[in-house]
Amino acid sequence: MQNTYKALYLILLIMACCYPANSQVELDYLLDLGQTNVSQGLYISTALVSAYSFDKYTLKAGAQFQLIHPSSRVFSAAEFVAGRCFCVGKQTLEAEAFYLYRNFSSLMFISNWGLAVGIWKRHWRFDLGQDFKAYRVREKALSYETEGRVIRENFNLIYRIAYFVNSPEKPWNISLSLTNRDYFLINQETNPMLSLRAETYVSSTMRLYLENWYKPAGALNMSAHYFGYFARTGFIWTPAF
Amino acid sequence: MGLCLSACLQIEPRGFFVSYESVDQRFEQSMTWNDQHPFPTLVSSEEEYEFYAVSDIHAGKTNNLGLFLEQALLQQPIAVFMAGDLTTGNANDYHELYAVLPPQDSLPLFPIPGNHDLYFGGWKQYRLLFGSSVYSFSIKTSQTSDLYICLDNAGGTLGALQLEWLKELLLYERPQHRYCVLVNHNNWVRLRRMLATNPYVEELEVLLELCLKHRVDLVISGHDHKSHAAVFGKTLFITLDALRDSYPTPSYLIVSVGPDAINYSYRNL
Repeated sequence: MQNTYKALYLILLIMACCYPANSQVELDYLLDLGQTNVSQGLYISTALVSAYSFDKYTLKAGAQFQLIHPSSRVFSAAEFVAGRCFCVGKQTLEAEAFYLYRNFSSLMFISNWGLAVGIWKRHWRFDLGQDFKAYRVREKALSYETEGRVIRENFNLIYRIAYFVNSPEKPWNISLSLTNRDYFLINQETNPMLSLRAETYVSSTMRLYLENWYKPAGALNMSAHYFGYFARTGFIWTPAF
Repeated sequence: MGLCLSACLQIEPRGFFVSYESVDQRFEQSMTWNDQHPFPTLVSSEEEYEFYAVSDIHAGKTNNLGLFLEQALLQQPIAVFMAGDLTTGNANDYHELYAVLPPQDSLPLFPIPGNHDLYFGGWKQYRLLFGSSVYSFSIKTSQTSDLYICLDNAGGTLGALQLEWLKELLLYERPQHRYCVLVNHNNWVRLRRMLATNPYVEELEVLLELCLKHRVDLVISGHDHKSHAAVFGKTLFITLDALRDSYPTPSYLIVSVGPDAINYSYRNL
């Protein structure tokens, strides 16, 4: 354990030393209010995602907490991302590897890992990736005479297509996205979600945003039914040291 | 052109955006029908009994269904589950299907709808012919009884009302039975890549936890058109082959329920 603390201390020290050169810290705080077919009314969750960028590299870590939710689990998810930018001709590709943990039950959990790449094209943003999902039974569920401890869903396609009214350098923007990935959630590729986002700079270091998400079930079965809706608000703070 | 016409007759683009009715509406209508037509308890004279399950018939054409029904009438399983996509949703296809089904007293049939059954306003036809898409009943032997729950997730979700009903059933009814079997159309887990939709991850989390907590023994689904099986927790998840006429390897599921275990096999047509 002492070695772990030493390693963490060393990493922080290196990051601090590197900071003045060409690095950046970003904190993203968000609050979700919504309703789904499984939420038994209103649910509220909050999350904090911090990112540290240096040169072409980015490290991200985030955690989600349920404030009102029937699952009665306060800590509900965590995500870790390591990314790097690549220049291909005039284009910049943003590649990332991620791990997502969903702590949805005291008896089981989901672990997801995967790879994704993203690219800007003027008013458009495209993301594409693959994820590998495993539903796992915890040790403490053994009293339920469990026989199968894990079930895997491999090679799930991740996608996001977003259109932005303004180009990214403008101080405000409105975008419409179709995706199966959100913070702390990756749906099956056949369950797209629709999101409308508005964001604006309120100071040189702070952006506010508001999102509305609609989740239809069964759309690709040509039998679309309501599954859920939520509104999200948050801010992204990029402190200038 | 022919392919396009054929596709248009079988799928309905409107459904990509909105369905004709919500799953909650179908649930409420089903509960009303169930109140007026309670499901009888089936009784097995022996301790071990068999039931069959088929899926994805996609009538109009009913040659495979006819073959299956011949075998079922001969073998007389205690129940036959029809796990959705019985038709393509067209009224004519419902009539074709109904024309080949034997009387309920010669073979107890337990249908549920699939996504195709809802196309072209198909729920009205379904309701007219079968009454209910959500119901439960039990099968009794001299020693014990087993609980069977048929669910409507044809729209990719159970909906809030049906989920609450299921939770209550598992909480209060489940402990009084030996085995618990769920039957629905959309398969829950994706053991292979497929274009068809499954329940949302958030809904799947709730369902998987319910199955573990309440010791659900078996979940039978169709939808994928290809048979596979997996065990998670204590629950065996079985997905059925399609029985539609154009499917190259149609089969049906035979489940043998005994005092010690539930065993299953597929029988090719």
